[in-house]
Amino acid sequence: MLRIERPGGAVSAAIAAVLCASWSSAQAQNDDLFDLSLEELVNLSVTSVSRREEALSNTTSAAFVITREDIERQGIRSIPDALRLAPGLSVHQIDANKWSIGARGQTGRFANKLLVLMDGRILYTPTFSGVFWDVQTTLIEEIERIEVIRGPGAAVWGSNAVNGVINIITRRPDGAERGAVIGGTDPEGSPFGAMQLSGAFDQSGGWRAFAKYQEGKANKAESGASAEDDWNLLRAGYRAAVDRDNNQFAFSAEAYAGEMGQNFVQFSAAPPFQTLSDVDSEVSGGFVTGEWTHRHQRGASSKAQFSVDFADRTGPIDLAQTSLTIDGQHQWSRDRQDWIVGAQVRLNDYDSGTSPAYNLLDDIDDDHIFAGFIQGEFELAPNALSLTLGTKLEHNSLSPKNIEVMPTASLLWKPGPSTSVWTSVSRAVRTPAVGDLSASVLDAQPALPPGDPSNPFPLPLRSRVNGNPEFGPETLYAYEAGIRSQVSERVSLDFAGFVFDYSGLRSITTTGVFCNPSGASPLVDPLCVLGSDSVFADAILNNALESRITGGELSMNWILSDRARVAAFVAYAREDFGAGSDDAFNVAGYPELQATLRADWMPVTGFSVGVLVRYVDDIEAVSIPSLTQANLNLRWQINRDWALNAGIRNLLEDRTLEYRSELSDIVSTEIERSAYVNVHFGF
Amino acid sequence: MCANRVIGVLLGVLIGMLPAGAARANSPEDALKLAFTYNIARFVTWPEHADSGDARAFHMCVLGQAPYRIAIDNLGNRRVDNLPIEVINLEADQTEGVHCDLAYLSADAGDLSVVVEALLPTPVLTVSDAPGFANTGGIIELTRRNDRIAMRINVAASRRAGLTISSQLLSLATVVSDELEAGS
Repeated sequence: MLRIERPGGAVSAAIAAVLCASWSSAQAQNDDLFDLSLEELVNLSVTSVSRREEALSNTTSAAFVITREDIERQGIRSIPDALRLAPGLSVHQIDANKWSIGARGQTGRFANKLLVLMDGRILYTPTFSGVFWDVQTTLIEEIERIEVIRGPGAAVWGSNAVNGVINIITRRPDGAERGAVIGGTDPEGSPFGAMQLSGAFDQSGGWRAFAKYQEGKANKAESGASAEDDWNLLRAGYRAAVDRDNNQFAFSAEAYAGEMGQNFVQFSAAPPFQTLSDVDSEVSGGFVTGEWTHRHQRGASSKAQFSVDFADRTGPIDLAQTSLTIDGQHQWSRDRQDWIVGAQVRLNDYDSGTSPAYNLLDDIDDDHIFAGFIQGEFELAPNALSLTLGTKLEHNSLSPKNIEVMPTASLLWKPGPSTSVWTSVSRAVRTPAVGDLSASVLDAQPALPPGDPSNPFPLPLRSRVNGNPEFGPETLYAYEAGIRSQVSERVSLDFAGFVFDYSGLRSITTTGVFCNPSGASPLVDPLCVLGSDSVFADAILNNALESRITGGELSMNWILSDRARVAAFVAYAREDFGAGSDDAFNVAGYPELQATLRADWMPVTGFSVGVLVRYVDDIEAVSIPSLTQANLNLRWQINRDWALNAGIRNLLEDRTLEYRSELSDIVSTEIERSAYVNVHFGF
Repeated sequence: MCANRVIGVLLGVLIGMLPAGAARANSPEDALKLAFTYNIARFVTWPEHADSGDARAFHMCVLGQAPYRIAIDNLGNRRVDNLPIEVINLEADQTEGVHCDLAYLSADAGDLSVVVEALLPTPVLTVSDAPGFANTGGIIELTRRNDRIAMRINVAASRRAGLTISSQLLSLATVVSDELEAGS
């Protein structure tokens, strides 16, 4: 039974059930509760147990949960690092504050087919449908778990849930938590300090507040020079939850401000036709959310959520955005059928500046999305076979089509108590972003110098790609299947395979060459080059590209003993372009093969060792060779109040270039090996 | 996430393991509380267990039909203090002569004060999910703090029963005092 909280709440309950501790599929049977330690029991959510019993291996999608414990044992302090624990995602650091994060064959700094949520609140930026990961820096101790779904979730979550859905779920304040002071260096060796406070509202709930300051040190470019990508961010947040009778209320707010450095690449008329400048983007923003859940009789429930988001950043391009989202949903069940319906309104307001490299034409300053969905689950044979049908309807004012239909159908078969087999077919779309419609991006690729075989002009030839007001949705038909099995008491396996057929993917069509600044065509007026510093090769975006991504992920959990466990996965994804492959634009590279092995060992109580080894295949499109990385983390819970965390990141290499930005506007940097120590004091 | 709980409840009812209205009968929350109880027992020292022979069993008495069934299913072949657990179905009105090392008293079973009083002279670890249990003579109260189970422990009551509770267990619990102690 796929129980998923929808856009507003957006938690996939069943996933939590399946993998509640990602280790725990092996302990998912009810009676295994009795094998847990007291510490584990104290941290166990009652609802996750409720679900675990019935919904174990009942999801019809490829799901994975990163738990708080996983994060702690690996000494992880950032969301992107945590996401590296999940199979089927592709996480690469570009510079000290930029990341390429995607799922199943789609990634890049401007990856746009992944829906990222925090407590159901949408984190992506509508200007490019991607996420500014540099400001997704909630204190890691605030996070309860991260649920990752590979593959589309559009039928419930809507557009952008194309290749995957990530939902970051924060801990619900329960009034029983302790305060904490945390500080030291993070895994990259940069200093941070944070404080958490909490309190109770009599018996019915509690609150928690945090403040955190963090710096990131500058990395080196491949040239060996500092890339000036140092950064700093101050962040504070507040969460409260109250549980009264059949109602639950939750409120949260966070705000941040800081600076993100980078080496910005700008065109220059003299060889080598580019200069570097240190541009610090000033970032600030925050959000406020409120949520109300009401439990009705007989297990039905209703939920309403609102959120307001602000985000502001300066240079290289100034962007300001405000979003308001209101969600409602209702679920009920009868006669072996579960139903859920919901509706969403989202309003975005934009304001953008101009820059030499990118401009957003000012004719779009707002958009709105209205959406509704319904999903039903039907038990065809008790505890053995169930069918899920659902669809989302979405109207997006930026899309030329009035209404997008995103249906899904899936089937779950349980041949035995410890094995389940599932398959699904879905349609998902990525609706146009503001950038697709109105952006003008100059020098997305380095200028071709005069004399280059592809440049017939005596001036540098620069690319300029323009948005297209007629740009339409990118469409995916996804075919997926998987099997989960509890092979033995201690070992569980999960395999999922997929074929993703895309049409209408973003591509470009050349529209002409123009002398800069006169605007005359050198083909018509060859003399125009005389008064110019460069020639623009112009292209416009359209939807002519087709492709197919095929792949799968195999993951395993092995509980060796109470004190030792191993998790491993192998993920494969391969993209083959069909029609329009010559006109592909800005296709970011993806490693076809990735494998990760991680182990936790607690040699003595209170002291744990976490090891992570990762292999990432070469990424041809961005010229990155294959690499193997290893991290080591030691955690010592000295007593009830004090804990010490120390480790080494990137054990195997002095420095690693993990990825190159697919737009050549910034300098990608090498991540150095680093040693770190941080201290956690609870009070 | 608050809605998780809703969904949890929903599922519990939904999956139809039980006829409607008896949803609590196999509630995972009960199982969780019994798992707690079983674990707690490992952190408590009974005065007489030290010299007990192999023939003796650990008497775990359970008041309440649903938790009793869970205990029978899950604890029958486990051990506490290296003694095999014997699960005993405790009836509220028949505590006379029943020997318990541990008594799990379900809040659903009604007024527990009589039962506690009847058990008290022996070194019995009383555990219950009844609100205020630890303040009114009981030793360990399992309470729900939003989405988690928390423990409230009355150390004075455990001392009166002759039991020693390890500091490790106390560090995970809230220590409370009771009215009895205040009066004595």
